[in-house]
Amino acid sequence: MVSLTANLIKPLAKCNQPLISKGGLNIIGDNENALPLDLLLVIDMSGSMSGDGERIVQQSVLFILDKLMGPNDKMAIITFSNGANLHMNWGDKNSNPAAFSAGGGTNFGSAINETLSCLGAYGIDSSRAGTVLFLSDGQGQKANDENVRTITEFGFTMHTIGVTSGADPTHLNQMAELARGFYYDAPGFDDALKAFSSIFNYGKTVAYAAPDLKIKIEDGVTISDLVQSPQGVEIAKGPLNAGTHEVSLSHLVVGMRGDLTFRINVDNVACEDNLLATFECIGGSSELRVKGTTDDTQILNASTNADVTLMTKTGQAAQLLKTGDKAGATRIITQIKTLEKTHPQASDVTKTLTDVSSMKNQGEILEGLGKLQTDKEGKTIRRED
Amino acid sequence: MECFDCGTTLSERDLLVACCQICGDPLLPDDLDALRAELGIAEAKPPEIINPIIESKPLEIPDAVDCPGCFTPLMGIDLEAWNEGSCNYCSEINPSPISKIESTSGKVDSEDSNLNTATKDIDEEKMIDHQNSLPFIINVGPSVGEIIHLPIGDIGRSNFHQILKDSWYKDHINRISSEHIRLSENYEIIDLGSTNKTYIDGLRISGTKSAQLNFGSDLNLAGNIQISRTDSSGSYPLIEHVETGIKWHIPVFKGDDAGMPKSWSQHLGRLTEDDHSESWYRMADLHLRAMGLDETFLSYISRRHMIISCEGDDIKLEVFEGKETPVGFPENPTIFPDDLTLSLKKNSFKITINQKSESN
Repeated sequence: MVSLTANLIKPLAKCNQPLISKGGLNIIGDNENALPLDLLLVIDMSGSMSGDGERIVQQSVLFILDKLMGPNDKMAIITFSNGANLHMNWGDKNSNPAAFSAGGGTNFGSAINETLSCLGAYGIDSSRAGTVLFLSDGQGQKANDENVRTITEFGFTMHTIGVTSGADPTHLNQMAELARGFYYDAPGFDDALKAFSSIFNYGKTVAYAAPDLKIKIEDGVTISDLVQSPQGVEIAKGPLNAGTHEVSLSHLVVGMRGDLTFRINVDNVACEDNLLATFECIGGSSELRVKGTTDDTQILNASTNADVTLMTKTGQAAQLLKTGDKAGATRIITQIKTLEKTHPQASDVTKTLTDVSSMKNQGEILEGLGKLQTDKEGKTIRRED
Repeated sequence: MECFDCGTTLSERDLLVACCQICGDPLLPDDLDALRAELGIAEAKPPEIINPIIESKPLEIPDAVDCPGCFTPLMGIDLEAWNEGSCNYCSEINPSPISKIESTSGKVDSEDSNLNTATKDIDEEKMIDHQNSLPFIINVGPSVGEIIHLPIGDIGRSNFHQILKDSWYKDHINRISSEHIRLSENYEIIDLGSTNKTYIDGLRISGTKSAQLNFGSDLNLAGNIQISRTDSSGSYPLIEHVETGIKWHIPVFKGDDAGMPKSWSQHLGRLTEDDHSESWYRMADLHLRAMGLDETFLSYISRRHMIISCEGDDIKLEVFEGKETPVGFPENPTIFPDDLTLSLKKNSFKITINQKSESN
């Protein structure tokens, strides 16, 4: 069973007026068992991968098969250069992939198309943790955003590894975000093996595979800037108007909480208990409400929800770091520091974000943000491999 | 003052909902204080607490009582006779006669009644029959952590009024019914249909079936009076949450003939494995809130934080992964101390493992 909790910054607002506020949604599941893993490797085999690239991919695949995969896990491999091919169909740890051979250009679009074909043929199974791992060392032709986003519809998320001697981390990070995954940085080929292990270990902690969040928005209400915190993953820019919407989320990990923040606009707050939106995810649901009143003193004295403020500011800082705006992120982190007086978890957030922002290059920063997660008690931690 | 995000000048409208009404950026507590000051709006104040005026009141004599012998309602001269010694109708003896009654008003002479009341209080203290009573720890209010004795049998608000003299308790005790619970000698509790209910470990007890009050559990009467079971043998480890003063004993498995050693275990976190409040946390939280004190420092203890346990003579501390490790636990204890204090940043627990004797 999953429990959802939706809150506004304040549960009260002046009635007969419009309202703009921020909201937060916490998703906590009680599944303490990780799902078996379906791992689809999508590997760049363009000319630049010849030599060291081929060797490290071969080593990594054998390492995953021999050392990491459990008896219920499955793996398939797609290789791509100018075009893309299914190199090894779904199989267990006893599979024996053919040798890898590099040559040609780098076409991300055909790789994503082949990925969708492979997932379509495999089918959807929400009882398994579907994870695509996309590795490239080059700047390929950009894949269609909508195609990348479609990966989540199969219950899979896609993580990207950029061998940054040649790849553009920002581009690969965008692809990972669209498919609700995270970016991993590998400065050289030898670092790719570590990234493979890291993603595999993450995949082995998934409790709920890429769940869909249904949002029913009431008349006169819009929701926008839906961001997953603390990683700063943009879930939907919006605005989402009245009606029912469905968005895909990242995998929910055992022992961790899923946090979302959003902006909400209400055309007019009635002088009563106002239902603004209903969130539903994996059998749990929560209603977002605000009570309208004419009593200014009552509204002024109503306590603010420090959790929503902290989640919002954390997401803002993470998004600024992704764009390379370290100065802007530092200003937000300084704001979060002022919350330490009243919020017991704020100091963990400032520490982890400060650690990430002090990393040397953008690839490391993007990987650092992808590894942030919030435990069920609301403590922000950095996932260790 | 301007919005941090969009630069718009902030107004009272933004202050009301703690968000910029142009871009939706949340205003931080410091910003809200600064904006209040700039707009000349006074800070929010907690509601004023009016301390109760303690007055010495004479015993109120009811206008009528039912004779326990013949059940006749006794009024006027019949009541006077009853108050002086016995029932005019069936000669039933009054077990608690009251002398010096004004003949017509039925009220006690105030000077003498004060004397009587004072004497009665002292007498009642002396009269506490430890043979027919059981010890508890009061875990709320100014007497938090102190040991009280409650009589075995039916207990109501008058018992608590006799024991807890501080005026703070008066209103809280008044919520307890005149016959609230029945206490048996093995700490079994029956709720006697009380108005404001009885809870053990946060669960309401009702009906005619008795509920066992174990060591480490909390018994809550009528919402704000909470007590826990204490021990006169000294064989149950005692824990005190130092910042609040609440105390409780850890239940001990005393081993068996098959060689199983004595063992005990106490989780020092806020929630149980199945996400219910730990008994100590429920008591600490209620005590702070009832006293009008800030309870938020308790949240520095994680929901699942650490477990201190003992098997035989082997005492262990297990801190859950990623949680703050307390100072005060011996690293390599050869002879374990009789008591130790585990100190976290904002909270500490004093654990008395081998008590020499009952503290009261």
